[in-house]
Amino acid sequence: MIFDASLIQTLLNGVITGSIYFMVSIGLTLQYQLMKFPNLTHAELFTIGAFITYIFADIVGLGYWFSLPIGAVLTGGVAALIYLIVFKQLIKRGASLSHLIIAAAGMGILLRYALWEAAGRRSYFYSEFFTPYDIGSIRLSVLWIAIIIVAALTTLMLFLLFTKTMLGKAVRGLSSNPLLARVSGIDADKMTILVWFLSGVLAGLAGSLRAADTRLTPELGVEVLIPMFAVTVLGGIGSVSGAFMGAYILGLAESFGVVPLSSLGFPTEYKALTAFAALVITILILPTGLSSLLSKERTRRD
Amino acid sequence: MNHKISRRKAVSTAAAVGAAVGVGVVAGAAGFFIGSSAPREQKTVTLTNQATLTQTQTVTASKLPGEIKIGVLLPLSGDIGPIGSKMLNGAKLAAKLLNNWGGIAGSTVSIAAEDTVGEPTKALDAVKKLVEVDGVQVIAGPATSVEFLTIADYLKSRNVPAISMSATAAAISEIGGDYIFRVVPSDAEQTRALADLITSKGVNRLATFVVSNDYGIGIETGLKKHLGNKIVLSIRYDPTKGDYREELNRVKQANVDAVLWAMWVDSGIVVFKQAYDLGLTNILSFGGEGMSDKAFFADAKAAEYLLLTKMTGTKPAPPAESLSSKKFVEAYRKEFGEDPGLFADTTYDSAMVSALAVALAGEYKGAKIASMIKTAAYHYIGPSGQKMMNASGDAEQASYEIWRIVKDGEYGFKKIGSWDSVTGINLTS
Repeated sequence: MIFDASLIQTLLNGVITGSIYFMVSIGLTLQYQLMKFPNLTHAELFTIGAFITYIFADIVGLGYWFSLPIGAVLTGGVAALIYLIVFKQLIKRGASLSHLIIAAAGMGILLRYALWEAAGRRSYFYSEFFTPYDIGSIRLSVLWIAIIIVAALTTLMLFLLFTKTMLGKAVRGLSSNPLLARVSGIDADKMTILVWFLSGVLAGLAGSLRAADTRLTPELGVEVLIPMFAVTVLGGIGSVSGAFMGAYILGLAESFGVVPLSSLGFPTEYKALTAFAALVITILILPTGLSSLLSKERTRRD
Repeated sequence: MNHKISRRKAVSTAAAVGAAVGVGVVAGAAGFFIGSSAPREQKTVTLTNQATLTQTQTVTASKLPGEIKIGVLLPLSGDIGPIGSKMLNGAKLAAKLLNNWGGIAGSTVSIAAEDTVGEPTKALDAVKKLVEVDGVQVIAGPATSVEFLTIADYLKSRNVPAISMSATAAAISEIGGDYIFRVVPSDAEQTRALADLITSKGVNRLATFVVSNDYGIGIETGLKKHLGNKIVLSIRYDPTKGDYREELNRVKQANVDAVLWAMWVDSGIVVFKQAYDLGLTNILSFGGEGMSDKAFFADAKAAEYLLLTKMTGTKPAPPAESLSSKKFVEAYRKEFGEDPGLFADTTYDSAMVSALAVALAGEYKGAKIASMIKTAAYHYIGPSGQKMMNASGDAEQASYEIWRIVKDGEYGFKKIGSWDSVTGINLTS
């Protein structure tokens, strides 16, 4: 056999991981486009979304699939509130980039410890049972299919939003030239709230899916914090299409990294190392990220 | 560290001490060795016969101080302080009984305890205080493996022997045997039991799937020693990663009969969920004591996976009841008004073996005491069993229970056999 069937599963595993990374990174990328600062609080929204979904799915008892969109939308609301209460005020008072970064880091820590306090140092599990199927030599569960489909829909939706709607165009205009956008009558504040909301929705979705695939703990966001930033850098900071490619490269590198590691007898915890080697090499070859390879989209490095 | 202590809860209930035996041996052996040590005195060569005899007698009588201090290193405060404080009672009881029986050749036995808080750096401070300030020459403790590994170099440099009552890491064997001892078996013994269990189930191709830390790697390397090339794939995973699909896919592709799992609950549940989803179900599951934890059933899919793959494993068995253990429990209850807690029996044994070694050495000097510890242990039977030690200073006697997952309404574990270092494996069902 020319093609090893086990590698299809490996590919699929990488796509699942990449899909989660994509959904959580894209919000960060969008926020960066608009605000020009890396929002370290974003990883905590991943956790918050998963907890909100848990509350509706298992405490209220609405079931996982029904609670997933509720969790996502409410997380969007939390994100918008965080912007309004914290970051908008800081920006209004003329906070510098470093002030904002430190505030975001502090906010993230505050949220995480609040979750520790509320949820305790334990793991939670959704009671939903996701049936696995054999398709030829491939194994897929309902949840894994859902992760891939949700990521695909996200991509499609973002593409349509940014290219086909006035709203998307306004956001793009605002990110590439804020002054000009304002002059042409775009409400910058509304657009920023909208982007934070959208980022929160995607983080909430990704977090709930990841928690269903693994387990739910207040540390959930910490697990994706580094990959999330890696994807954003790999893609070219602030680039949506770059983040898309970055997420899947990282996911696949982790997945395929396990194959040689396990056959050579190395601990597979080094899979993160193979993924980050991919990251470092990309930065060396393409300092502005993958997006510089992609067509018209502008890479912003401020 | 917490878990190391808590997982032997079972032991505590069955715990107990063979005071009678211990004492008999102490007194008898002490008398014999002290008496027989006289001819070895070399300084007397030039003196007359009568002078030799006189001097020998004085030397013998004066070499042991009036008070023999047994140092004890235990966590007396902090997270595991409550457990450590109760363990200390075991040592106190040993001293009390020894003194009731007449002390060691007329000298009183006393306990000098220091708090290690269960932390390596504090343990180092504590052992220095015992040795430098209190002049202690033999120590019962410390409780945890990481503390023991940290203070081992210091103990060796000061020629002070220490006997741990609860440190079970396999790595201690590498530095043990001259000044580092323990009255509990090494975790490596459990891998022998596991290997016997796996072999008895007709497994020819095994994969190991372990958390990448001392616990997981210890079990993996231990099993490799016993099963050799039956192990066709070894995976060490990162417990903070939360995504093990591809590692599990490797196991699936390796076409094995069975998998040995060694992991913590949190990441373990994720692994079992994903293994179920991936269809890695036509295998048998095996595990060590860490896997016989009901916390693994928190997720329905993980629990179902364990049942489906017939998870079977080993865990330390409480010592069999003996005269020694019965007498220990009686004496403990009388002294402290409650049942002995976790590791009180091994703490008692550790203090007893220390005292016995002092008696055998006939002199309160670390290097001499150290040289007598294995001999003392060889003759000693305590509440936690026979304490004979191997070359590395680990207790040789080990017994494990063999358990299997069952579902009877709810998920649980059932004892299906036993293993001990004398008779090997014995499956009852």
